[in-house]
Amino acid sequence: MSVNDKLLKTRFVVDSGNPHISVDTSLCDSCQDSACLVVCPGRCFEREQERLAFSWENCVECGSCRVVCSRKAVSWGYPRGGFGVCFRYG
Amino acid sequence: MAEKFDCIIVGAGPAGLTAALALARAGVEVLVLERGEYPGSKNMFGGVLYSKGLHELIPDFWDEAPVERPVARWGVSFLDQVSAMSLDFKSEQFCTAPYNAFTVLRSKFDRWYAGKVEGAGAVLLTDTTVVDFLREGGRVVGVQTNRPDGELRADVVIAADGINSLLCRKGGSGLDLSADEVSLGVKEIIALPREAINKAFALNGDEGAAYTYVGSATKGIPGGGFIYTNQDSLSIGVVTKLSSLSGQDQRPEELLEAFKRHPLIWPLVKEGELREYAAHLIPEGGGGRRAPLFADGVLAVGDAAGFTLSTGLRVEGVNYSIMSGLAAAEAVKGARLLGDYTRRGLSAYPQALKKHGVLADLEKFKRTPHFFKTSRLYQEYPALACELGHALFGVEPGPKKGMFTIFKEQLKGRVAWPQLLTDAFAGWRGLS
Repeated sequence: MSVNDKLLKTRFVVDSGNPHISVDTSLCDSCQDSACLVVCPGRCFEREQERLAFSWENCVECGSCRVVCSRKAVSWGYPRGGFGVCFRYG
Repeated sequence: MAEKFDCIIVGAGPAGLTAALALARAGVEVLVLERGEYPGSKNMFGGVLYSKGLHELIPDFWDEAPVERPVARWGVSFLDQVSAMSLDFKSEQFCTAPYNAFTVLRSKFDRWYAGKVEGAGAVLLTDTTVVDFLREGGRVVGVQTNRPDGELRADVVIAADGINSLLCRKGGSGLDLSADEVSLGVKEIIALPREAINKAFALNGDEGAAYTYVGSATKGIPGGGFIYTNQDSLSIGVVTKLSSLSGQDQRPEELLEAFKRHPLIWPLVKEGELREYAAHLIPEGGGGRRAPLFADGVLAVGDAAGFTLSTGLRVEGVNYSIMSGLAAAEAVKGARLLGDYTRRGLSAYPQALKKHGVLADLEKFKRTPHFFKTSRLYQEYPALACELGHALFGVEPGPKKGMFTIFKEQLKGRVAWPQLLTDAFAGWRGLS
């Protein structure tokens, strides 16, 4: 089962057009460790044709990318009140 | 909004809610801000709440709180690819009041707890994200929310906004934490009929089980796997040290999937149905953290202050959150009597944390996080334990070997004797 399939079971209230995390991908081209690709439990970071691509819709707001990014490329924040992941079990 | 409160608490988790409950009971005007749709909607943990702290605040809370099961059975296992060497403890005493611990689902539990806090007179405002402090003359005088006209003022602010605390990270707050010593937990809620859970885990009625696994559960990466039984679901997950995970080619959800598919785990979960996938960071700094806990007009509690303790056998976070909320409330009450909310007025906080056992425990177990960094604990020792099991319980042709001979043979090539003795000593000092 892929992360995307797993995340279909988790409730999200997506704040369309208002990403709460932004990534300065220009800093990522020369990054060797690319830890974000491995650690993100929502698989929000992918490498597409040699470039890093970030999508925030599957973000479970854990903060791992903020901690592991050695380039300070991740501007990490919380979604607006009431938006984002909404655990029903937790 | 230009309203002023005595105290604003940012974050409706166990730490913030406990501070709010204690303050509201003392007649302090409290506002609790929660960024989620409801308290608990952003919160997740493995699954066990130790009863003691909350029982002191809300006697017999289990009669009304949405707890899942009292934990009767505790297990810790060294796991290799095909076998497990386990310590299994079950006690009926854990199933009668005052219960030792319960499995809990945070989205239900925190919501209930927030209701109790509102009942005590605190004001709860959900759907509200706090983005920064309000400061005047270098001291905190309130918070800035992302609502229109979102400034809210208070004599004192309690930062209970969790492991990623935006507030504690704001420059100039005086609380600049570097809780980057963290682990990542990923977890699935697997629905199963109650009777199936009881059968699989050998439980009666409402009894619960809490199992942790070290070794193959994380493919040797520092951390562990866990399974907790809820009423009619399992909480199953893996926790890995984030700095160790980032150097691997294993993604967290793949590790969890592999743990579920382990031949000893799969029979427990295979009939179940996925209900939720979640992830959260866990502070792992323990007593090694030296960041300030309070500043002019502000205190940090719970995960935001890095208060968790894992000693392998017991993993406590919520308990310390509750105790730190209680300690912060006492410090605020003291400051209120003095009419002084500066550092000086709040200076009773560390003493209150000690009194409630938070700092004392973290100090006592300060070597523990260091011990858990030993990679042998996740690779060599689980393999050694399981091989010993094979040698002890298996019958081979030829003359029988003594226990010590078996141990010596299994140790050879894995761990050198001096290393074993050093680790055993470090383990003993770290865990006891």
